[in-house]
Amino acid sequence: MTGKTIVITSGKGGVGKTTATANIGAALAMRRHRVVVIDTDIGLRNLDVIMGLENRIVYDLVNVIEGKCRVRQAMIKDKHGLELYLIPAAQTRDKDSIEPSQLRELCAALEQEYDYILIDCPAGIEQGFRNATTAAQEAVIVTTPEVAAIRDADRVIGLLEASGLHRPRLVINRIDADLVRRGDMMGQKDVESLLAIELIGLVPADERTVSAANRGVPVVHDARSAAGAAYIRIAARMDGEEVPLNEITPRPGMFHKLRDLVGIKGRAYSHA
Amino acid sequence: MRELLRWLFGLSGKNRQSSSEIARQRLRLVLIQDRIELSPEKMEQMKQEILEVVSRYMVVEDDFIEFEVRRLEELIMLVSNIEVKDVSALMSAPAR
Repeated sequence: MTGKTIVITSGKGGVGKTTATANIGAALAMRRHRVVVIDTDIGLRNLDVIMGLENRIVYDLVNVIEGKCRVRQAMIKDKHGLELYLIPAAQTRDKDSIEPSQLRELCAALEQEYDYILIDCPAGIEQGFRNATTAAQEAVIVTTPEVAAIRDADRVIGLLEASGLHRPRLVINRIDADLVRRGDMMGQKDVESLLAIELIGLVPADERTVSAANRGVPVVHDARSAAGAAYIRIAARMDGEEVPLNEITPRPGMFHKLRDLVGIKGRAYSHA
Repeated sequence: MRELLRWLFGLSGKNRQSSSEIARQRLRLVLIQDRIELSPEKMEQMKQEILEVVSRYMVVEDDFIEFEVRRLEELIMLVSNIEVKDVSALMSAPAR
């Protein structure tokens, strides 16, 4: 079996890389794939809390790379009975603790046994970024429809191209259809034309993502979540399935307009 | 109340440019700048040098109407426009 390693990156922090990694990983595992997610944000680990596995950590990525434990010992199995494993980042070390070639070697070994290895890349374009991107054959860029996030995404696309990671694919996260309709947020078309790379998913702003993170249960497990549904569709596209990209549509109707006006927050939005 | 009226009459975002449109236009330029890595000083220097060369052949305004790097789909181009003040100078321009 030969799997592939995909890095989830963004440049800017706080756009939802870790959430995307946890959810795409879970969604791929729900499609009966064997999946490993690796947190490479050494010193600032978070994928463990998003997945609700923080209490099960014994060994971490740096332990594996330094040969202090076997790979298998550092892999924490997901709670939901899926073939999904987390290799957590070390919390008390820094990004220089590992070298790009070491992470590549680890991923190469994992590719022999697993279908997908997803790397949660740290923010920034320094050592941690180089480690994460060197190890991968494909890249997914996460951005939000905001100027700072898009600018950084564009820089990262350039750096990936320069290092030979061609054709990265784009996830636009936290699209608020009401803001787009009002002209206060860039829409899918705007972001697409600015970054000019292939789109693999549109994830709506969804408060259920926030409560899911609070609970440590990725939002793909919430059947009523529009964001969860979006991640499931992204996983299907990664698998080569043809899933049309629907533009995220605003919640319709007078009632919602009024509700917006008086400031009551809506629930999930419609999806893509 | 003003917000309410504006909303009722659908005025917001129609007369004024929407903030998303402003964001898009700002980003378009920022991304080009980032991509070509030409600093504002370098741009200014290039502008002055081009102006100098053009002035050798015709009488023109002392500044460009428009001078910017722009993107059209996949094409990145330098667009510059300058007003020619004296057309007769075109005829008597020194032959090279």
